[in-house]
Amino acid sequence: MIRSANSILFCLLCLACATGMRPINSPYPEVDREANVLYRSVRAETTEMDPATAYISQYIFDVLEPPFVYHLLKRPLELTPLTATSIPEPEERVLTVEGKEFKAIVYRIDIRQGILYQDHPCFVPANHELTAEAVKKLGTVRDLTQKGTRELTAADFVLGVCRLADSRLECPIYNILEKNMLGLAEYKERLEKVLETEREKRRAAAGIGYNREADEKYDPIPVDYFALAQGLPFVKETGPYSFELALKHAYPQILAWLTFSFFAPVPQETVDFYSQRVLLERSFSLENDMVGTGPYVLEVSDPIHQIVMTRNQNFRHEVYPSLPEPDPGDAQAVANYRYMKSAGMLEDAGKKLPFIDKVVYRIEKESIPRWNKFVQGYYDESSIEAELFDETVQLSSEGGSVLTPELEKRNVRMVQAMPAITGWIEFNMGDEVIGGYTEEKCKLRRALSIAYDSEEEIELLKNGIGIVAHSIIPPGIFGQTTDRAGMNSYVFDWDEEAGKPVRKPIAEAKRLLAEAGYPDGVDASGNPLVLDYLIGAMNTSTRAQITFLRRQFEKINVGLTITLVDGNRFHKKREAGTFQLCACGWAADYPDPENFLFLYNNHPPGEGMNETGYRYYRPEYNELYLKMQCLPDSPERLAVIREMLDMLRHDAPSIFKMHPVKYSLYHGWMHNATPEVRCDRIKYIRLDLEARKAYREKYNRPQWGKVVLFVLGVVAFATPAMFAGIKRLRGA
Amino acid sequence: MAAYLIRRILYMIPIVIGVVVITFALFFLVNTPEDMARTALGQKATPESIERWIGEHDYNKPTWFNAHERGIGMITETLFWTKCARLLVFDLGRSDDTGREIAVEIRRRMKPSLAIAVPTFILGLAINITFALILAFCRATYFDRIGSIVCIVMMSVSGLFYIIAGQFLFAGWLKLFPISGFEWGPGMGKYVFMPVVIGIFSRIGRGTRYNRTLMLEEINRDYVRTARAKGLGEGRVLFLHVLKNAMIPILTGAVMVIPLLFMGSLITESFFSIPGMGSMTINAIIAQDFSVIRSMTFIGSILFMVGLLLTDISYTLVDPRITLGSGRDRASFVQPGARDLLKFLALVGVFVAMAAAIYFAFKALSAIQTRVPIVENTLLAMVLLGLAGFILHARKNDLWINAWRQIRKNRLALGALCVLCVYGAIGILDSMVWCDTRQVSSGSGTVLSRPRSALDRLLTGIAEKTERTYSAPLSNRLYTKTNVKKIVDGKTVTVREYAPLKYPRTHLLGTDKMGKDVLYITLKAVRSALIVGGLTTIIVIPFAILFGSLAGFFGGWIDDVIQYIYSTLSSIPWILLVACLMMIFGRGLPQVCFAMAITGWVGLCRVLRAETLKIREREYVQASLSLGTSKFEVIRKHVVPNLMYLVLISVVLRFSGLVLAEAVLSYIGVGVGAETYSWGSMINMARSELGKAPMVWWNLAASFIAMLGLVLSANLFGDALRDALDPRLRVRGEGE
Repeated sequence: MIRSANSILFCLLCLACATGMRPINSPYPEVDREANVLYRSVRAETTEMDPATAYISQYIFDVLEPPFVYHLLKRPLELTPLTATSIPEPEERVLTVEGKEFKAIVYRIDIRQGILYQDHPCFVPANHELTAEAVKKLGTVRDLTQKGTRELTAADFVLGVCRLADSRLECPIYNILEKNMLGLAEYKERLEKVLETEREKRRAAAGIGYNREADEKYDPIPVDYFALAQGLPFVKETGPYSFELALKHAYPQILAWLTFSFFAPVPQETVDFYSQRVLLERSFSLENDMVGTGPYVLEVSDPIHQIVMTRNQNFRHEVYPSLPEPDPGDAQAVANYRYMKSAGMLEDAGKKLPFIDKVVYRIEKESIPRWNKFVQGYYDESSIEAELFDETVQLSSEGGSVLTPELEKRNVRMVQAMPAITGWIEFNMGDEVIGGYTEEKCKLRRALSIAYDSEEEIELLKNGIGIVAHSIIPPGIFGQTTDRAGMNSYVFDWDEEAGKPVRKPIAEAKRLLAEAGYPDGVDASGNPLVLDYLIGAMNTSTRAQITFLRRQFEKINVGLTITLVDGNRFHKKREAGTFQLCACGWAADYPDPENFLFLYNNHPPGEGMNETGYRYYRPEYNELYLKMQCLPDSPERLAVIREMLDMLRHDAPSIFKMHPVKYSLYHGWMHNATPEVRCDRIKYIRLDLEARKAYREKYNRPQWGKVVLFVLGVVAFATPAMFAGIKRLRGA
Repeated sequence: MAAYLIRRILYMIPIVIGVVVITFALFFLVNTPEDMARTALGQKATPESIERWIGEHDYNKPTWFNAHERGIGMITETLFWTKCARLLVFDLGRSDDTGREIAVEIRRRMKPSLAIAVPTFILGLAINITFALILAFCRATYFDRIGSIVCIVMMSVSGLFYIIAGQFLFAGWLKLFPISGFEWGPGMGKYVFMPVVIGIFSRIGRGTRYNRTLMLEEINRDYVRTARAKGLGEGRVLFLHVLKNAMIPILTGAVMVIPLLFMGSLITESFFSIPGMGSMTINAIIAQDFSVIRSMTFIGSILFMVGLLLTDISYTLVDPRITLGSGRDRASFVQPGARDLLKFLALVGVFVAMAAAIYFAFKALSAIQTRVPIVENTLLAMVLLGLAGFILHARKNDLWINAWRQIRKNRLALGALCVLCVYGAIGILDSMVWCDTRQVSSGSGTVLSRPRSALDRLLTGIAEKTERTYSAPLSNRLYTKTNVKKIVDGKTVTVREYAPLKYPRTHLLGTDKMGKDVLYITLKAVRSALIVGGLTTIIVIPFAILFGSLAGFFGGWIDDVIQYIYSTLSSIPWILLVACLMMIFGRGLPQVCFAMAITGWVGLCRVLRAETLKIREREYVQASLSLGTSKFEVIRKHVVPNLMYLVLISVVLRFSGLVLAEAVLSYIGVGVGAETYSWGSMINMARSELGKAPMVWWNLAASFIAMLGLVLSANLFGDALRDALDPRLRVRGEGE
């Protein structure tokens, strides 16, 4: 007995001596211990890699480069060319589509010369006739020995845009583009016709039992995108290094869409390469590979476990951007300059990009392991989980939030950002009880808006992280200010002393409710007002949310029932209009108020649906919307936006709840990281490897002493059992 | 033997077809192509894009039968044919969600899953059997008693708790292993260790207890007595004879795990970031990815059947008395006649009709709103009447009178019964519901408010004392810092601090996120647990006994039919089946019970069938048959009473399992309703609370202790009841 315990201890001691005090809990292969690798965590198994379908995925911009990006250092965010040479100006021109003349707005985009694609087998013609044997042994297509490259041309951008209309790819923003781009709908029609004819032909040839899905899986119908686009102006190659986009009407927001991967170049070679049956049979396709001009090359694509990027050897010479000393008169620019300087973002100006050799994205679904790995130094960055808020952040004496001393000591840096998201509770404007545009109904909804205490919600359910919403537009985006002019005066009063808005008292809500025909929460015939709240999915926080909502409405004696359905039925009910209240949210695609205000720009009831399914309809609002859309950011635009917001606040089609704030944490060795710029930021990041190594060794020493204690404890626990057994054996 | 094998392999074909048809039917009942399109396209879906998606993915076809086509096209141009029939030739197709090749995906994910599951399974089984042997060896000593109680304690802990505690211990405290991650290859050990150890540990309680009972059952057989009488040592008796004979039910239990091995452990995989099958299944359920679900179902069913076959073969290896030859051997003495068939069908029909009638009656009644809600109170009255009826019946019946005498002698059992009565009383009080009225100024002057139960009224004192948010047990301050307005030097400033409570030192178990008293929530959850455990068991038992005993006793085609039904049902991954059923029934407590009962009878039925196979070979059964007793009579008199102890053990084991299963359902979002209190949802909430720093432990602790109290007393009482009801065990008690 004792001997066995001794031997266990001896083994442990040997192990301890062998490994010493070096960390043995690294979740990465030993060879990468000191390599220049950035480790990032991904929450969900993001799968989209095809530029036509990927919406916002963390890693796509490491490889694919659209024409524009947002400037790394300028705030508010500003577009800057990436593969283009400059930001184009709109130009009015008359164009013909299928014989008809249109007044169109045209953007001409010039691209930089001399940009090379990464080395990829698709650029070698021999690789377009692969045999089954050649493919059989491949781990990835990168194992093919012959690779090539070529220069980026305007045709690649044109192909990228053409592919968006292909219904086989399901581009998520196609509907928006179709509304605005001249000739895109006609192009899609042509495409559909080609597909339809080919499908009919194949079906007839194969006879009975033809399975289209199975057939096209390995044998996709080839489409000549360029030939079909002949005569349609939505996108046009105007030279080897320039192309044009044509719009039906003024739509300046198109430039913001040009920062998305939807407008990234797609070489024809790649499309052809990935149409090969032998590759598709092995599940090698554009869905799990990216061919681009960016600073990194996709090395390992294992979307259920990890994505690995390595340095692109063909990447052009690009340097870290600089921010010139601003004019002292421009307060905003000065503040931004100071902020960037203090964050150390200006130190690397002029240095060659990228800094990091390799980027590893690991799938990490649960928040506890993710956070612990960050603390141990195995992830270089982390967001703050709501549950861990009090451990990481304290309120400073000035009212701002700072890190706790524990993390401060570990040299962790915190950056706060507004991700431009609004959360609200939507009223069904078509509902008999809660909907409608009469003064009573507006008052009823405003009463509920006052009763719903967003401040308390942020405090209890969001750990104090968040900003109370006064309209659909989050602060930081043009049109919404935090001063008195930006206040929702139907729900808040201005507190002169504190200089900030204060929610109107419950008595006011009760008064409005009585005026709306529900004194004390009961209507004229004596029936209590009970509203139904529709929920589409159940998670751990739903329960608390329901309790919270119930308490808010109980303050003015309004009852609440809950209808809990699955996600699909939720959307169906919303579209059918068979609900009263439901929670909604919107995250901005680009930093422009238009991206929020369009939510209430709807068709009249019964005349089709806005793509978002909202029911608010006011002709006056729609008129203002069209006016606002084309205006540049100016006092004139601000006035129009304020008028629109006031309309929304009066009618209260929603209870505007809150805008979440995002906190990001970076270890001290990670430089130039910023959460505000959504894409294209890995290439700027620099790691101080020595500091990282030292940190990891300091905080990950195996606790051999505690192991010994633990083993002793277990042995002590098991001893009586052993004795009982031995006694029994002897007895028998 | 060869004939048997061929027969069984041929049987697999209809089962596979059955699985494919059922999966397809279930899935399309709850999930139309439109739903799938919506899920795939996300929030920004429009009617046009949905239609496009449906066309692009070839879902625009009739479900089963195409009237527009001619000839064979009537069948081939349908959803069923294009989407499912291809599975039968192992063409798994592509995922609807990710577009990736499913076969490739499974091949890639199988390795990590197996790397965790195989060691967990084999080591776990070995350890469970060893512990069970040790306990059986030391039976009736203090060590055995403590061991049994430890087992019960261990099995009343949620698996989630083991994972979090294990990660904390090995990775957080000792820093020996990476917290999560995976890497295929020689360095894999450091990633695999923790999941395997935690997986084994979390199953020790259940497995050891189950195996110990089976062994104790064997130990009292005549051959053991003979062996002992001949002077064989206790150790040799145990290892040479008992272990071998107990292997039948042990193997039966073990084979049920094989599909789970393949599917991976859902929660473990996501906690340890292991890219395996489990996370794939969960993703598919969440994304409603039918292609993946049907493939997993298909593969799961095939694996299940292979496992089934292997078990049956192993039966003959460990116990030569069991004959598995062709059906003709058995036909010589048990041949179901036409009347048996009619009786059998009538019985099944009655059961099904009763279950359905109750379900639909309650569904209809629950729509009517009255001051005294009808459904809750009728249910309560039925339960109380049933209890009273049973007591009246038992008072006249010798068997129960004797059993009660036995139990009265056992102080532990009496104590457990008292605890159970307390739980029962809480449940009953919480089921008596009526509404209050509220005075208003307009209309008739009064309106009905929300219904409250007798328990709510009794606990008004604590139920209505809500705080703002978390507070620790008996604390006088909030547990988290909140913004508090304070007047300093005449100015109001907002300070972030631990604000004092409105009702300091009154919350015995603290308060939850919304400031509700945890004691109140815990007591409210008693009713849900009793309903989930009780109602499900009530539905399951008659079906399981009926099908299990008939299948084992008659063999032949009855066995085939029953095996077909349960193989098909149990081949479908449990979670998927329950999730689909919940989507059809809607969310709520009774729905959970029905859904779990439909999947739950299978496990018990298998065990009972295996046991009947043994009993059938006994002399007294054969004697009774040769005396001309009717076969149903033999089953009723000789087989069923001998199955009762297995039923009892299963029921007791099942009870805690059901309550914990409810938590798993909550994890994937198909548990009880949003406003029903349950320990499952408390545990589920605790997932994020344990990650909070400092840790919020009282929610988990309260549900853990409350659940432990119920399960422990149910187990202790169940044990005593078993001893009292099983005549053979009673002899042992006196003999020793």
